[in-house]
Amino acid sequence: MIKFVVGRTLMIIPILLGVTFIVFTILYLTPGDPGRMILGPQAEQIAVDMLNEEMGFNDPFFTRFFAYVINVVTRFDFGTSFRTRQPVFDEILIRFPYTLRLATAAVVVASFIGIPIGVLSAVKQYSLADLIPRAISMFLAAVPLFWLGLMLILTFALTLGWLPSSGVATWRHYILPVTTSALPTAAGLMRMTRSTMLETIRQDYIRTARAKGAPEGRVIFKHALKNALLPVVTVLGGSFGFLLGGAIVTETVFAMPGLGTMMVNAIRMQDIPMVLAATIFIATICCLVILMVDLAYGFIDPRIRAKFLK
Amino acid sequence: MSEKLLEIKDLEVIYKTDLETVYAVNGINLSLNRGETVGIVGETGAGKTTTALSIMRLLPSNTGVIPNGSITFDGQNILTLKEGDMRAIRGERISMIFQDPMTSLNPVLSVGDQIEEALILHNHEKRTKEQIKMRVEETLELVGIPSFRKNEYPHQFSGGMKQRVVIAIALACEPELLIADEPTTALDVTIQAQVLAMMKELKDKMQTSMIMITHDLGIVALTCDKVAVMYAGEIVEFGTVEDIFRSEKHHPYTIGLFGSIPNLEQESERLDPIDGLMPDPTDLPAGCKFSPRCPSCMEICKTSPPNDYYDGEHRIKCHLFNIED
Repeated sequence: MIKFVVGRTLMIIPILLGVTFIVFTILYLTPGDPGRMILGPQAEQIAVDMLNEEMGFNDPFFTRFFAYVINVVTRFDFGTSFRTRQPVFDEILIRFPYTLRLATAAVVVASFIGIPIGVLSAVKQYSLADLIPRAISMFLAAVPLFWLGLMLILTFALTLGWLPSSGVATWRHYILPVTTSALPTAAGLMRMTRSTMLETIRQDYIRTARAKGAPEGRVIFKHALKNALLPVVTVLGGSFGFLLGGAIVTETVFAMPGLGTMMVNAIRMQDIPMVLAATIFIATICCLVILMVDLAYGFIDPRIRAKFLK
Repeated sequence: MSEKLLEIKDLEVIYKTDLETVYAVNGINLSLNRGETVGIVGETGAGKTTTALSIMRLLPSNTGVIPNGSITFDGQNILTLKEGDMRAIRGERISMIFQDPMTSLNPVLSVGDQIEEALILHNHEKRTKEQIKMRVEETLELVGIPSFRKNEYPHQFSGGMKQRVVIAIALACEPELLIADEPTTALDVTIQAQVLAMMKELKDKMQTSMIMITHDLGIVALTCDKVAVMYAGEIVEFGTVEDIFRSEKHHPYTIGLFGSIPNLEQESERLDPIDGLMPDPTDLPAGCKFSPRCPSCMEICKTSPPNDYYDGEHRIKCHLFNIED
């Protein structure tokens, strides 16, 4: 088990190097003059050239790439922001808790809505308890996130005045953004749970459980759900990683100071160190989430656990 | 000894879908005394498993319908029982061994847990946790699996071992009636013999009645007291093992079945299988269901369904014998 975890964790290193290389290359190829970005449009051309030379922006591509990687690995230095002149990683750490809170809450809410409704709609296939959730989930999966967010603001913040529409001051500020992120995720989870449950409840071992005289609730939750959960956990992990990577639309609509808004701003300002650091950070988080999902598989399914242990 | 445990009367089962209606079981009569074993033989699709599932009341709820007939178990008609009362019978008084051991066990629960479940669900003797654990180990040992393996999962067992686990689940509560649906079909021949011998031994030990569903006449000869030959949802011939294997009078289908297995006493180049296929269960022939394939088919067979011909307990559903009398 430990061997598996260590092995999987080490696998993250080449993935991150790859991500860094790709993003670094893309940013290297984007037009723009870093010195000009830092000093502003009014600065003398000679000062801009001197700064570029001094900060190594004129060095060849690979020299710059390796210098960056070495700085990150040896000193954990992701560079300073062109805009604020502060170390970028500090800003990421300030922003990340908002995104983490939003993503965690959204995923928890989505699971509590999506999984039970998915089970219900599979068990009561073709009844109203199936048709209505399916129609709603189709709608939620199809609707653009920003529209959903705006409609929620319109209804609950402007018309009814129950909840604040922007900011992060109290937990009440989180309700609308969490709902916006959670509903489409719940819709996806519900559909996935429904389809895997439908498959599972037709298995022979479910009949065996019934033949033992097990009541229906026990058959569904003890025998079927655990078997149906694997693909659901995969989807869940995927959505969690996606939301942690900055729920950009949600954060923008609700003016939350999370990673998503930070990244959009950094890209708009061509704040290269910031974009790079944020991308690497998100990639790391995603890798960790996927690792957790893999471990959860082993927890759920003894057949997979057996492979880990070997 | 001759006390009736189970009596099936005029049972009909259909599977109704939007597209078609499958007539799976068409009016069968069958009774079973305590401690007795009845074999049900017949081709794939003859309605053997459907009959078994009807007794368990485990027909697929969205399609399976029982329009007619009754199944009386120990004096009560189980077809009219409430679901909750039926649940109390299922697994405790009637239990079933399923056909395919590979898929009949839940892959994410340990075998011990799966055996234990039946005991927990039907815990009338108010066994403590310790006693239930003891009983699980006892049951495992009974079917020839060392009890220390109870915490292992189904994927860690071979096919034959899995079937033993399935049998252990069925036997855990010491049922009065055990329905074995082709318990050895998925197993190779050496394991088959072991499992059958074990089942017979357990049955004798626990005084359980058994319905043995199979399409293997050898198994019937080995384990059963009485035999029902099923064809297209009907019992075409019923009798003691003696009647079926030794009697002169037979339904043409039974003769065909015996013709399809190699005979050690007769020199023959080829087997003599029954020509043709089972009729389409959505569109059964009007007269005798076997008439299109029957070598001794007469005019009357094509138009009117035959009645049962009785010779003591031996019963044959065929016009051949009705005409003689």
